[in-house]
Amino acid sequence: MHKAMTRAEVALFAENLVKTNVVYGVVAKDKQFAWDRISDHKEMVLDYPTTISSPKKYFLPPTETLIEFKLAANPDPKFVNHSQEAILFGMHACDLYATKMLDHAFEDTNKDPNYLEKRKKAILIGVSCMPDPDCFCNKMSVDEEVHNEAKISKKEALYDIFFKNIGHKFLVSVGTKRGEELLAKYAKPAEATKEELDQLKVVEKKRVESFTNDMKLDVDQLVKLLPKTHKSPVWKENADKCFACGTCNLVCPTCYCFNISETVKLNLAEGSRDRDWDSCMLPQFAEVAGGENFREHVADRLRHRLMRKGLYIKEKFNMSGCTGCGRCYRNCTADISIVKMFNRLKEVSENE
Amino acid sequence: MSKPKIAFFDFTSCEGCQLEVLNQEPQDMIDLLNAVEIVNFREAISDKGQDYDIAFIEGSISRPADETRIKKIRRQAKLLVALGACACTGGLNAIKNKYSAEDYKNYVYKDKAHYERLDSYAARPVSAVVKVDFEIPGCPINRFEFLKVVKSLLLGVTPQLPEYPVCVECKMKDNVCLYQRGEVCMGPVTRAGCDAICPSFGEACTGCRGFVTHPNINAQKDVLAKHGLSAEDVMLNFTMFNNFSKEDTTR
Amino acid sequence: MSNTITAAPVRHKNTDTNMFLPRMAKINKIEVMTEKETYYELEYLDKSDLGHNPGQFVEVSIFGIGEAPISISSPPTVKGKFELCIRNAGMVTNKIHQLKEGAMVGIRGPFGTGFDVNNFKGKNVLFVAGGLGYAPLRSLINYVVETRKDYKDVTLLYGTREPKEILYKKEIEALEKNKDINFHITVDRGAEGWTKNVGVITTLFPKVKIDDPKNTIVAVCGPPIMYKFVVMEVLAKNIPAENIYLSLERRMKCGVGKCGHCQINSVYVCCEGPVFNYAQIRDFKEAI
Repeated sequence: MHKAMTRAEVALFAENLVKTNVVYGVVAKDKQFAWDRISDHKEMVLDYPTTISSPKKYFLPPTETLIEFKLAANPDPKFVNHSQEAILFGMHACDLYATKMLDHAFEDTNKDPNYLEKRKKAILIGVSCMPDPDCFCNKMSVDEEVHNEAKISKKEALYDIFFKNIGHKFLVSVGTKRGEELLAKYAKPAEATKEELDQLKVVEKKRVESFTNDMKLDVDQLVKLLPKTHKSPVWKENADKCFACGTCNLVCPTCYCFNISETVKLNLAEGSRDRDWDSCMLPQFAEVAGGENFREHVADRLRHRLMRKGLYIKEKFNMSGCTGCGRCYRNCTADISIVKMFNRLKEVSENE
Repeated sequence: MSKPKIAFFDFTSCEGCQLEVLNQEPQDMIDLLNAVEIVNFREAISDKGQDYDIAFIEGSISRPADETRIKKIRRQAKLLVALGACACTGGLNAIKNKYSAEDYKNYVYKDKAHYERLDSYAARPVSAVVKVDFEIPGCPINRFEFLKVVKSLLLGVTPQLPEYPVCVECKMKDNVCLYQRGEVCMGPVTRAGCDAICPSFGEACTGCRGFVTHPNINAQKDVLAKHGLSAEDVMLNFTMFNNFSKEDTTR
Repeated sequence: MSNTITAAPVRHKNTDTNMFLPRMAKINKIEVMTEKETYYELEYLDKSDLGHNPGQFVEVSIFGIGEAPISISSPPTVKGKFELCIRNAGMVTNKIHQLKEGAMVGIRGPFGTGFDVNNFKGKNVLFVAGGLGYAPLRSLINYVVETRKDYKDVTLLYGTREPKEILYKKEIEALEKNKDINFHITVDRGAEGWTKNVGVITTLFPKVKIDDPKNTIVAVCGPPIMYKFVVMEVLAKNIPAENIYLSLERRMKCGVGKCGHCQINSVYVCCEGPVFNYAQIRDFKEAI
């Protein structure tokens, strides 16, 4: 099942990939980390706690052109698709899970060609991680979906290749045929030895035990709890300190809402229709042309956001809408914690 | 369709916004000049035409004589657009509004404080004196936003400023949050549109574009205080570009 | 004339075309109806049918400005062209109002789920239209009028703020004279020469006689504030929740269930709506 590669071999593999492929990976940015195009494999890091934004920005860019047209009697609109073959190297379990969730969202009912073309041409390479205090993917069924080999063998893996850090080496799990071919083409990994597999068990146990989050609900418990919380005072409690700045949505790996806007060139002869990241926390998100705003208050919008994370997406796609990556809390200037909010909803609901 | 005639005028300002207007990519400048006719632009051309459709005004109104001049421009212009923080909010010029004339004159002009030509009254935004059709905020303005506004006006639609805060643009650019570096930033309450230029270069947002429509001022005060700012420093953060108040027009 | 309409939700599926790519349509006819609302008749350049269900909507493109979701106000029995009633309420619709006959616009759609027309057959039908809400209902009303024999009692309640805001005036006059339709109209504020009812739309309900509430279907469309009160009146007449259809307005931007702007609780109005069965959304706190 598992292959084994030394750190040097993984570095060589990365070097070979970068030479002949379009590779996206994680690079240091100040004291944090961010996804970026890799031109030199030495810039790419595999040991990182988390990234500012998630790799969703590759599949659903902050701004993306959908169509181009002329400003003429016949505008002759043309569809634009900028997909390419690419490798995303170094995805954490939470982001792999999120990508699968986004696949559902963009495949459902009406297929979104811009997302799906890019997705189809992308190879996902995962890497294991150790949780930080804000991670709670273990409660959101993410950890299990990605790491449980027995579960994966029954269905399609969420990755093409996954590197599991066991200290001096990486054990490599291959999830798809594409992953297998890529690995065979650019590396010659040995089979993992029994000692290495034992070491993996030790490391995995350590990872599971390293979660220190306080999340008191799992995915199924959230689905049971949330429908009862529409009128909870918890929304207002948090609304008072919330900036409604949209950060939580934008850094969330499963948030995919967008705005559609027009850009016209200064020659006033051509233009494009683009989609830009949007956020249901922003005041105008649910406003209609007449001025009516269906989620006018911050509390309404906080509720909507958490309902999506814990309930609506689960109902729709049978996947958790929250991966437990902790980005929304880490990046929140007002220090609003999704874990504390879920826990408090539970607490208030139980005391009713 | 004949090209609309546009003119630029400056009042109390550093003229940095007009510099941004000129600071375009060559092709953009060519396209701009193809789309409009610039008839009055002291910083760029020597010709002075007084026949214009759109007037762009940089600077705050700081002297009674300014009022006469801006009112004349207003009468001529079909559309009047305030350009930059000074014109939109009074900008940095309005900091003096909180001090007595004697104090700020001595502080700024020292031994020349008694010069009559340095007399001024409380600095005020253009909108405090004449009707302003549209405002392009920022210190200085964002040159791309200027082009966007021009395009909207040419297309005959009301230009739209972003209704979201600078945080959105930081996230779209994957910027490291200033707060995460232990610094403070006015981004969460400040209107975007600048492409988060200051945070993108590691500098805190100082709110030069004014507040978003629904700023959570209390939350911002709490966050600044939590990051160790004194009440006075908190106020300085809020008022740097937002010193002007209606009462100032009586002074 | 074939009047077959599929009862199943019609969802716009793009298998070979791009769902974001509008098709060009020409404006054949423009008629100013009120100060803010104008009637447009459009046709695709290849004269193909729009192929919609009553209650569905299209996204109308003005290139360079944007798109606006507009409900289709012609019945599906009108072939080779379609009609829209557009209120000047934003940048896009403002530009549409400046267009002349012969101009081209982009059309995406039809989108969403319309009225389940088959479920109306053999039953009493009650229409409740408020203001611009008449436009989406008109698609269904005109269809029901055309196939009148398929239904029992048909009643139409229509309210606007003022007499001058009444849409499709000639059609409304014809409906008033139509012996087969129980027609009641009201305005919030009367005007000189107005002799009919004055008051909000719920003041018309005492005039409505429902003999067989279980066999009565209600279709409602109007401004957001209207729904709660109308639903209360309808339920008070013992009409079951499953028989009440509401067409809801939301900010449908992409029209294809992705962008999230139109979401009410867990449903995307642009796909699962804009027409909802009241029983379906009764528990949705954000719906009405």
